[in-house]
Amino acid sequence: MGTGYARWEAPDNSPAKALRLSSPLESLNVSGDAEPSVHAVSAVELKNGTLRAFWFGGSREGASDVAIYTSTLAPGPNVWSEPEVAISRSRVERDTDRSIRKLGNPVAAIDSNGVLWLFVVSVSVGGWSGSAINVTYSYNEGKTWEDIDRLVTSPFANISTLIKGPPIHYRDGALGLPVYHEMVSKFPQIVRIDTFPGDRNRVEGRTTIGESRGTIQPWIIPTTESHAVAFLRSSHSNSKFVHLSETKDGGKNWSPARPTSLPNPNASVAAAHLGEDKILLAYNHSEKNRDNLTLAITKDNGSSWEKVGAVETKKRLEGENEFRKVEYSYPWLLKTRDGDIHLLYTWNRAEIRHLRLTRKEEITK
Amino acid sequence: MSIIIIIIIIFVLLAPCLGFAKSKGFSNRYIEAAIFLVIIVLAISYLYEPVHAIFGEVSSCSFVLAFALLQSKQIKQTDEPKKGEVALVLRTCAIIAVLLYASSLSGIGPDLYSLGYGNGLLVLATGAVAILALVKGLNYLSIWLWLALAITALNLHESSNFWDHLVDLPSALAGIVAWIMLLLSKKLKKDADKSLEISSDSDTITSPTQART
Repeated sequence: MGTGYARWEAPDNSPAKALRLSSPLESLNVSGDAEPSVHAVSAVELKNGTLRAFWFGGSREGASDVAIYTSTLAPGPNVWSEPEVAISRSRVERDTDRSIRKLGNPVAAIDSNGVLWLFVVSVSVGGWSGSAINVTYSYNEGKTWEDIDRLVTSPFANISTLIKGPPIHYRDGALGLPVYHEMVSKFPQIVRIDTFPGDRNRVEGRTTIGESRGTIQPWIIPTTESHAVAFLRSSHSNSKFVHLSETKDGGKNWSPARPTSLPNPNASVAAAHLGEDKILLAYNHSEKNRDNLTLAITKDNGSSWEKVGAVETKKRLEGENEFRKVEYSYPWLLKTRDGDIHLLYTWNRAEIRHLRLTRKEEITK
Repeated sequence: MSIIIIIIIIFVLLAPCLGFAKSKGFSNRYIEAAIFLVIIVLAISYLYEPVHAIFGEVSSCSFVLAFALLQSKQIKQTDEPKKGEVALVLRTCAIIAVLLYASSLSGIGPDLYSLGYGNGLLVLATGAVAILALVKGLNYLSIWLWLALAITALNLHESSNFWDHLVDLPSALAGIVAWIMLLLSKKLKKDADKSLEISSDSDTITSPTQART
C-alpha cells in the first residue's frame, strides 16, 4: 500500500467518568414506530453536542423499501426527533447510475473539517456478500446530502465490501474505514479514504487486518498514535468468542486475530475508549443467542475482562412480549466530548434504543 | 438496470445467438451489426456519463475480457504476429485479473490489489515496459500500457487503483477488438473459401475440353 500508513488521532486518555448500568426502562426510542423493521444504528456527535443517529428501516431487512433513516437528540430534553429518510434506495440508484436491490449498514463519521460523512452498504445482485460501499457527505450536519458516490474497494466487480464500525481518524485528515469482506472468505480490512473536498477517487489504500479469516465487522479503538486494537465478530463455528487483533505500527502490520474470553454468537460488537487505558465493550454474552446485551471493561487491551453487567436480558418487559425471538444486537458505543458514554442498539428489530451510560453523580467504578 | 449489466448480458447472450445464427445460415454481416450495436451502446454510455457507464461496475469489464478470451482461441493460432500480440495482451490482462481476484477474494497471502494504490513504482515500471514495447514494435502491448497510464494521469477511472486502470478498460476494449478481429478473420476465411469454390467451379465450367473427353 502506498500512502496507506499514517498515525491516527490519539484518544483522550483523561480519567473516565463513572459507568452506571442503566435500566433498559430508561432507554429512549430513537427510531419511533413508523417502520416495522429497523437495524444497524450508528451515531455521531455534532458541533453543539447534538447526537445524530442513522439506521436502516423498512418492511424487513433486505426489502426494497428499506431506506436509511436519521434522527437527532439535542442537548436538554431526552427526546429524539421524528425520524426522517436520509438516503433512499432510489436516490442511491439515481446518483450511482446502478441498479440497487437493497440498502444496509449506515455508518456515519465527522472528518477533521466538520463535514459529516455517511457510508451506506448496498447490494445490486445476490445477498449481503455482494455488497459495495456508497458514500455521501453533508456540509450542514445531515440536513442535506451531496451526490452519492461508489467506493471502489475490490478488483472483483467491486463487490463484497461491507462496513459496520466507526471510521478512525488519521492525523493527516484521512479516514480509516473498518470494512470486511464476505464472499469466498471472510476477513476484515481497513480502507483509507481521502477526505479532501472534490476528490472523486477517494480510496487511497487498504490493509488486511492480520490473519483474521473467519472474523468480520472490525471495531477499531486507537489507544495511542500508533497502537490500536480491533475487536472482531467471529463467524467461526469452533471459536465462538469475540476476537481481537492489534497493531503497534500505525496499522501497517496487525497481529493474527485471537479469541478473547468473551463469548460471541456471531454478532456485532462495539467498543469505546473510556480513558485511563480502559476500553468498554458492548456484546452479546452468549455463544448462541442475541438475547442479552452486556458490557465489559478491559484495562489491558483485551487480555482480561471485567464484566460490568447486562443492559438487556432475555427477560421481557411487561407488555412487550409479543416478539417471537428476543434480540438486542448491533450495539454502537459513542463517547461524546463531555465524556459521556452512549449506547445505541437494535431492540427486537422493532426499535433503535439509546441509553446514556454515565452520570456525573455516579460512584466511580 | 446498470448499463454494464446490460452489456454483460448482451455479450453472454451473443455467443449462442451467433452460433445459432450461423447454423441457420445467417450472414456474418448480422453478427458484425450486433457487435457494432454493442460498441454504439458502450460509446453512448460513455458519452452520457464517463464515470458510471463503461466503468459502472469496474472489473465487470474483465468478464467481457474472459468471454472474449474464450472466443479468441483462434487468434493465437494464426501466424500473423499482430494477432498473436493481441492474444498476448489479453492473456496478460487475464493473468493479472486472476491473480488480483484470487488474492483479494481469499484474503490469503499478500494483498496484490492494495499495491495498486498510490504506487508510483508500479506506474513507473509500467511506463518503462510501455516504452520498451514501443521500441520493440509491440504496438498493441504499448497502446494498452499507455492507455492505462493515460487513465491514471487524467484520473478518468472511478477507481483510484492502478490495477483497475491497467486491466479494466484496456481489457474491455481489447476484448471487443479481439471479437471483431475474430469475426473478420472468420469472414475473410469464409470469403476466401467461397472464392476458392467459385474458382474451382469456374475451372470445371471453363474446361470444356476435359468435359468432352
